[in-house]
Amino acid sequence: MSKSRNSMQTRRRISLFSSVLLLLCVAGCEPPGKPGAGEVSAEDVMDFPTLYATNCQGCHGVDGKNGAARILNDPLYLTVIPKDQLQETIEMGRPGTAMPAWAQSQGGPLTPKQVTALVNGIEQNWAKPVNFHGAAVPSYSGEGVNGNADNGRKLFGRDCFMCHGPGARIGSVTDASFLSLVTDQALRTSIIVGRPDFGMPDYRVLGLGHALSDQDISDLVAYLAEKRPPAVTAALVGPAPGAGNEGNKSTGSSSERGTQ
Amino acid sequence: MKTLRNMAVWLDERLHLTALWASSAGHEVPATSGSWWYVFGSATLLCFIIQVITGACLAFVYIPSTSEAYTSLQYLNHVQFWGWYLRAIHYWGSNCMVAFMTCHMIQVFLFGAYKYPRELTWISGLFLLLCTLGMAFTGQVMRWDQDAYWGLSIGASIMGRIPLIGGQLVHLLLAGPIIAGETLSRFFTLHVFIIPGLIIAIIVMHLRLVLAKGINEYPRPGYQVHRATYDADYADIIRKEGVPFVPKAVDKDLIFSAFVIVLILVLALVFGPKGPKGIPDPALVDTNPRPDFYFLSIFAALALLPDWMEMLVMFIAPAIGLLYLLALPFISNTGEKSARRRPVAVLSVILIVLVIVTLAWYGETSPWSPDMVAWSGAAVPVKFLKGRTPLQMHGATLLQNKQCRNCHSLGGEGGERGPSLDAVATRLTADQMVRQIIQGGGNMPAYGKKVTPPEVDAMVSFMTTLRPESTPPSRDSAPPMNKLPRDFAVVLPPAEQADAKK
Repeated sequence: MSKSRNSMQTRRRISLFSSVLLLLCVAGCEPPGKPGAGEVSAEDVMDFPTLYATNCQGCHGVDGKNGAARILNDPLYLTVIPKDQLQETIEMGRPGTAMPAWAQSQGGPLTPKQVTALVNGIEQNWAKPVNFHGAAVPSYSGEGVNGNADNGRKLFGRDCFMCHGPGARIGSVTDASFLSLVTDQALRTSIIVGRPDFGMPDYRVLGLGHALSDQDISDLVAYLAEKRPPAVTAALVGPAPGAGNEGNKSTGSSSERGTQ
Repeated sequence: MKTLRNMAVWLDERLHLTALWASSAGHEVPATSGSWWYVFGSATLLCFIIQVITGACLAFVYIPSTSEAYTSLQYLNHVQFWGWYLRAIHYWGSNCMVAFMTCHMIQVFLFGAYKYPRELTWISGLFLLLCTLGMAFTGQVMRWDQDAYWGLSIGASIMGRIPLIGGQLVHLLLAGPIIAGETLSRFFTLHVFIIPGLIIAIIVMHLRLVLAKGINEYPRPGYQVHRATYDADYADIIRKEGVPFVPKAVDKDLIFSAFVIVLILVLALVFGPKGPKGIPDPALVDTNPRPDFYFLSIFAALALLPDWMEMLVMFIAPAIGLLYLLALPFISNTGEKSARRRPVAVLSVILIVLVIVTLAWYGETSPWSPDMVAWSGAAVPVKFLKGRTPLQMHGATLLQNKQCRNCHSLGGEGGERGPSLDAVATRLTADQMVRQIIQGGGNMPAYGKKVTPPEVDAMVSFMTTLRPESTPPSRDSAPPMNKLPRDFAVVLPPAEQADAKK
């Protein structure tokens, strides 16, 4: 008798529990199967994390760092590069490098609004201008500073050779293939901002623990540009209005070609 | 009360309802057939009824025109109160219908129920299967999204290959030479009027045959069906252990039906409706069309076929398969029914199910399709970048830029069309990598004209680092006869450099 009463109670409890569960599902919570806002077409995506994750993180790494290409999540880099250059780099890409053009006008997938959203997203999320407030950071393009390759060679031997000489621990930057793939602007930017995510220091300590000057950086770039195979330099040459290094043809001509 | 009874009696005298009830629901079935194995047929019928009801409700809103079909589905999904749920029930109902129908067919096959004297029951069931697959295909077109468009395109191009009449058949199917507004109207008519009408007619015949020839008794191992004696044996079984279908044998069907209803409602609630995925615009290449699950295996088979097998697998094999299924009750008309004494039957079922499930799995994951967004969306794993030289880092960037990742995965992300590059350095030497990139081969296109020598150098330099630390890199069996100069970019004439840059 008591057994059957127990089982009756259990049954009642189960039915009560499942009815409450069902009611909760129907009335309380949003059913998981309910379609969301609908599929947003790729051109309507304006949200920075999605835009970045779809279009940029393949090369620039998750969260803007630890990627194969230039670190973006770096306050120093974002202080050095003018906003319009950032915008232009995304829109037009950097011809001759692995950075493709992203603007629809250039055959890329992004609308002008999306490019702006990316630029703003990068600036708002990763730039910290306060860190360098008042500090004289080297200029992005080195315009007006003529590089001296001879001096650059000396500086290279003093500041870079340990890590980047032929056969050195980190790997050569005087390698012909490497120099064929990077523009002078990319070299300049790399010297200025380093790779904080992979342990390469920036210009502030590269000069034997002291900051490299604008002139030092231009000299180093001029030296490296001289090492570039002449055939490649010829192929890389293009019109570069307002380019920096007038004194060094190869450097000046490709300095506007930008970052890698 | 008396008036009501008189009315009922009057109606019964005119409509013979009691007699109909007694001869259908009340007909005697072998007590052994009141088994859990026998519930799939009624479950399929229940799914069909759910499909008819929800389909009729959907038809109130759905507009079968190319300009409005997509919008009306969006309306159901987002505006109409619980409209999405209606769509979801219809979708999951169709999935369940195909699934239970398959279970029913397997059960009938394994229980030898197609043998004498139920040949026509089997054949009518086969036609029901074909009609249901027809409903599934036409229903997929109703969504009028990318899946629908490409599903239809593939269907039409298969049909177009039929010798002699292919062109006319495509014209008949699409209501014109191309997929257009008329196509949707045609498929709507098929989905809503013609095929359901056929299904209802065949169901009537199927049930009529079940009643006329009786439900198959639960097979006893060792019992042989003989045309001369089976009818008497069956009558004997009914006389000895026959029970009326209602209420004695129907209980398990009812319980299972309740389960099916709950299953469909819960699946619909949890997983929701399918699509519509994106507008059916053939110009959109960034699309990943997939058929519904019941056609995934065909999708995979078509994708994986070598050219020379296409005709065989598209037409000859299905025709032979269908003819074989139609002929099955005549080929194996008598003899043993129990699956315990029919190892070939059991093994065939296992083999066919495994093949279909494996193909469906391939269809779902479709490793042959490049992952078109991997190059820009899948980051190079940090472990492959730590401690790399500037040239190697650049090579990693180029690997992304040249979209190698779309076919080759790294760290589990990326396409699966080509081999993963995670340990490529253990398989190929640097020279072999250069050759592979430039000349392609083994299903990989040649990239010689799309990459410059320094780019190849950078990519290969990076790839030679892709190996587990404990595994040595691949090496040549003999030292190379000629070694390219390290800076071979230098030796390339400027004109060719410029060409390569293009």
